[in-house]
Order: sequence, then structure tokens, then C-alpha cells
Amino acid sequence: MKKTQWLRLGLVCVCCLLGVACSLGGLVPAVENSGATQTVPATATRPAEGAQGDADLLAPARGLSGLTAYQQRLEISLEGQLNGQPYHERQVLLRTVQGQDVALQVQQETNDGVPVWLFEAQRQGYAYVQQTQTGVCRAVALSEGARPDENLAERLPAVLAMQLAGNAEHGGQAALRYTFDQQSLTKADGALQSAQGEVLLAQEGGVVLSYQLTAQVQAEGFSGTRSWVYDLQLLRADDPLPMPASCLPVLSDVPIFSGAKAVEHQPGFLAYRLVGVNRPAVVEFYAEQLPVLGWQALPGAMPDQTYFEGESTAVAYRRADLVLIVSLFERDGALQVVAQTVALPPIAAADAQPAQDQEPSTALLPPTHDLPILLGSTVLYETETTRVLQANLSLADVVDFYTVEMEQRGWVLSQKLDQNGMNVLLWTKDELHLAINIVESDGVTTITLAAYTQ
Amino acid sequence: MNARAFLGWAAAMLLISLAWGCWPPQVVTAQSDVTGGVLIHSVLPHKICVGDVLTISGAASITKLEDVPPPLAWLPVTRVKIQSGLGEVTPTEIIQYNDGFYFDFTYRARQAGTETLTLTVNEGLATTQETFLVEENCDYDVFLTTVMHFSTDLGDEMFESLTHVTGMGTMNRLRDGEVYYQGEGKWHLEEALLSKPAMCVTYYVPPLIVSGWFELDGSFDAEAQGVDVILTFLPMEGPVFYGEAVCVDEEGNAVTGWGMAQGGDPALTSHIQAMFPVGGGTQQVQLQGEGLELVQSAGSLQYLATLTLIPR
Repeated sequence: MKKTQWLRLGLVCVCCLLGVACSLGGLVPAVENSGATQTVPATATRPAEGAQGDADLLAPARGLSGLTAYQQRLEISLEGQLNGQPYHERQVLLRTVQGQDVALQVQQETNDGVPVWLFEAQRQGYAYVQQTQTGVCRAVALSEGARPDENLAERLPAVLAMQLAGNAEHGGQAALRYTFDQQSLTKADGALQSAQGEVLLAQEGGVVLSYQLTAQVQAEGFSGTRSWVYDLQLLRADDPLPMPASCLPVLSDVPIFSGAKAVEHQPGFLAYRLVGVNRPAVVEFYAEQLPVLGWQALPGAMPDQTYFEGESTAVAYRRADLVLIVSLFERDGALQVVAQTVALPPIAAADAQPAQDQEPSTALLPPTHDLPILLGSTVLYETETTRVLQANLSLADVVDFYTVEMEQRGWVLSQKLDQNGMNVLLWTKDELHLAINIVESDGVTTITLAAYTQ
Repeated sequence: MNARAFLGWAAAMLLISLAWGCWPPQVVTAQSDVTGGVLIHSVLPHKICVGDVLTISGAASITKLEDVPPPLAWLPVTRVKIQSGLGEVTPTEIIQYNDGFYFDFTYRARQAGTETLTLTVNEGLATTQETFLVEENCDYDVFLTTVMHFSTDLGDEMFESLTHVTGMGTMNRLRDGEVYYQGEGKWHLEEALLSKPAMCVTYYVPPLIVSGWFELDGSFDAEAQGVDVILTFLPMEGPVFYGEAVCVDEEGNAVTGWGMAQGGDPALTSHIQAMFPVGGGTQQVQLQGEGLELVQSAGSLQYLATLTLIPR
């Protein structure tokens, strides 16, 4: 072999080496980039020696750590012949990030296996897992061990030398559209035959908004198509984290009476046992603790209203659309405390609103600024027409308070009644009518404000 | 560089570049540049007993280190081997032509003691273990919670109430051939009025409180690998607590009264049927029965009910 031929072979080898070296040079930072640090840009100008495209996508997950609320959908499928037999496999993953909370929904099917449905969420210190669509949800404190969380964009193949194909829009975001083929993909085992793909990158920040790739693959024992379809949607900070209906929140913020034994936490369920404590003490405990946490007592929940004569006692509180019920009963020489939440049943629109051709049968409470706030009072119960308060003030003090404060707000006292220990003040202001009923019992004064029509 | 050195260097480079494309793509275990992972996603119940069958979800993956980010066409054979110390797992091996997938397997508890499940990917590429205690006997505590919103048009007012029903019982496991359970418990109902009576300017109506028993029956469903639970309400029993309602009309007249409860016909009682995985948990359930249909026919009734099974 002549020296020039060796030289030519040497140059080919150098190119091979450079090719490998260039790939590694591009891929190695991406390994770092796939982690949490996100220090290397997802797109970079291709090195001059291989400059055949407009941008590289080395780390598809880049930029996501800067977003606080988003949802990713990734579908990976495989269709073809495996060892001469038809084969298909499809994996659909939906991952939602909402601040520190994250949820992952998995649907997977193969033609030779059992379909998998899985939901996992890490929310406010607990991991929730549900394995079937209608099954039960279980939870475990995250402090008991780390749970997996994979950013779906990290499963997208890297792309080199993409071609810019114009501007686009995705979910209200201005984007740049890139296309590519098999020459832009790494093919370590030589199984790649051909490929077509498209990527949308956000013009601001460069986050991958959309990624589609379909490749013809010829691997050992398998020939067919492998595809990736990825989509990113930005969410608002107040969008709720998706949770299956069975996954009610763990009642981690429901206080537990001191000295509790055998504490059991389940989604929407808390149980524990107390020795040497009676039911009134626990009812009083929750009447003090729950309003501070935003829970509003429903009728019968305050200690002086609670029914203790039966074998069990139940008190109910409401916060937004959740109802919390605390049940108490004696069992095996101890007091069993069970707290459970149930989402408030949806109220049918026909019930919630009167028919258009009918006048409302009840008047609504005046707006908040039209009513004085009795400092130190607790709202026991509230609807659109009625508000019930309780305060550790004397009846006379409360009557004086409302007499002065209502007049200052332009209300006119039309009638004042004192009958059977019940004080009633009837007020009028323009077309509004309001009754304030004040009753004192055992040092606690209950105030009922009710709007009415004449 | 002289010609001899260049020759050696070029030959070495040729070998390196050829070797790059010559690694067998399917023989994963023989490669030192491959890493893997395997884990269990399921949250296991706090108590597992002999005879219980659990479906456990997991995930496995393998990664070729040189090719991160993932190469396009790598389709390795990923084998997950599942072993149990005291029980039985099905299947014992899961194989997929993929570098990342999810899977389910079942575990049947055969004997009491400390159980360890071991999941291994590709002959030791990655391993995970789950250890838990299998107990000889398990009964269940059963907890019921229902919230009902009822409304109906009374002509001069829209009647509206919120009712909560709580209940607690115990379901004991009986062994006589097939696995089944029996038990009972007590239910407790409180109804609170939400709407203002038409004649009242102001009012206070204490909750109406009634209670009674319910029966529990459960059987193990081998096909569904769960416990089929039937909760049957029995008619209300004992005193009805209603307190004193106070209503003040527009003229300032205070009127007192009380609520009332009707019931007692066993034919109208409701029941609940629900399938639970062994190990229990909380799930939403449906009420069924003629009494419920009767209430629904009198107005609009929306409710949500949950049933909780906790092994004890």
C-alpha cells in the first residue's frame, strides 16, 4: 500500500474518530444537562466542522426547571414484527408539575402483556398511588422514602442539525419550527433506517413545546416503526394538580389530640385512639382548632350544640367544597376518633338558582362592607341568606355593638324585640331588610344574621 | 510522525471506529457501559395476611451510558425477574423489548413471617427489595361516610338540607373452605337545615339525629383478587334526637318546634356493594335501595359516599 493510501485511510479514521468525538462532545454535556442542574443550553449552534443545520437539541428537558406549572404528555409506540410475529407496544405518560407537587399518569399496552394503568402523585408531603381507574388510592409520607420522578422530556432522543422551517404557535406560545431526518439522530447500534421529525421550540427560553419523531427501525429480531409524540402545555399557578376521585387529600392538616395512639392516615381518612379522654373534650378541641385552619362548623358541631347521648357523636365542618366529619365512639376501653372528608355533592344548577321568570323566594345577605364585623366572633355556619356567629361576649355588649355599628352604616332600626330570652333587631336600608337575632347561653352568645323580604 | 508510527496509529483508529458499530445491541448484560433501574411504584397496605393476593406495579429501565441522551433505535431485551421468600409471585419474569416500561405482577401470601420481594433486572444490572410482615389473621374495620344534599321546591320556599351519615363496624374473617367475612356496625345520621323557613325572619334549627345498625358481608373474589363487600343498612333504631327549633316571624313572634324522622321499613333500606383490594383502603361507593329512590323522587338528592376498610 502506498503512503498516500495510508494517508487517505488515516484521514478516514480521523474523520471517524472526529465523528465519534464530535458526538461525544455534544452528548457528554447533555448527560449533565439531563440532571437537575440544567446548566447547558438545550440548543446550540452546531460546530463549524459539521454545520449542516440551524440548531441542535442536545438536552430536551432544558428550561423546564425554570417553569413552576406545566403538563407534559409523551406517547411512545412501537409497531412492527418481533421475531416474525406482529408486535405493538404503546406507552402514554401524562406528567403534571404544579410547584413542588407532581403527578404522573401511566397507560401502557402491549399485544403480549397485561395493560398497565397507574397514577402516582407527590403532593404536599405525601405520595399517592392508585393502580386501577376505579380502585382505591393509597398514600405514604414522602418522608418514609424517596419516590421516583422522571422528567418526560429526558426520554426524547437528542437531535443534531435541525433545519429551521419557520415560525409557529403552540398553546399561545410563539415558537420556532424545526424539522429533521435520520441524519440528525444518533444511531449507536445501526438499527435506524430512516426518520422524520419536527420540533417546536419556544421563542422565549427555548423550551421544547412539541416533539414528534417517527423512525423506521431494523434491530435484531425486530423491524418496524418507533415513534415519540411529546407535548408541553403551560399551566396557571392556581390550576389544580390532577388527582383521581379516590385520591382525597391525606388529612395532614387536621390536628390530632395529644396522646393519640394507633394513628392511621389514609387519603381522606384519619383514625386514632385516646385513652382517658371523653367525647366532649375532643369536640371542644376541634371547635377550637379547626376554625383557625379555615374549617367552618356546621350545625351541631359546637360543644354546646353537640349530641352526646347516643353511642357515637359526629360533628361536621366545611371548607370550600370539602366536608370534614369527625366521629367519636368508645371501643375496647378507648375513645376511637375517626376524621374523614367527603367532597360536597355538586348542587344542581336548577336548585341553586331560581327560574328566570320567578322572583327569588329569599333575600340575600347584604355585601360584607355593609355589615359590621364583630371582632373575636367565629362563623359557625353561613349560606347566601343567613350567617350564624358565636362570640365570648355578653348579650348586652353584642346588642350595643350592632346598634351602634349598623346605624353608622346607614341602617335604620325598624323594630327591637326582647322575647323569651331572644333579642331580635330588625333593620332596613333602602330595599334591604336584615334581622339580627342574639341569644346568650352559658357565657357564649350566638348571633344569627338573616336577610328577609317584606 | 514516521510512516511506521502513522501506520500503527491508523490501524488502531480503524479498530476503534469499527468497534464502535460492532457491539451487539441485544446483549445488554454483557456490557459494562449499561446501567439499569427497577422500582416498585405501589404503596403496600399496612397489613398483609396469609391468603391475600396483591397486584403490585413497578417499572424497569436500562440505559446505555455512551448514548445519553437516549439513542433512537436501541431496543434492548429487558428482563425483570421477581422472587418471593415466603409467598408466590406471578409472573416470575417479565420480558420486554424496550429500554423503559411499567409492569404489574401479583403476590400471594402463603405463610406468615417477614417477606422479602426481590426484583432484578438483567441478571443483576439493577435490584430492588421490598420487605414486609405477613400476618396469620386479618379482620377489617369498616368506616362509612356519606354527605347528602337534598333540595325540593315547597312553593313558597326552596327546602334545602345537608345530611351526613357516619358508620363504623368490624368485619371478621371466617375460614370454612372459601375465605369470607361477616360483621356488623352502627350508623349515625345528622341532618342540618340549610334553607330559611319561609315564615321565619330568623331561626335556628338543631340537627336531626337518628341511628341504627348495618350488616357486613364479604367474600374473597379470586378473579378480581379483591374482597367483595356488601353493607346492608338496617332500619333506624332508638330515640330520634331533634332539639328545639326556634323561628321568629316578621312580627317578632317566636315559635318553637322540632324535626321529625320517619322510617323503619326494612324494605326501604339501602345497601352498598364494593370491591376492595386486600389490604383495604378508601373508595367512593354507590348507595342502592328503594328508600333512596323514594327520597330522589321527592326532590333533588346529590350524595357522595365513601367506604374505608382498614385491616386490624
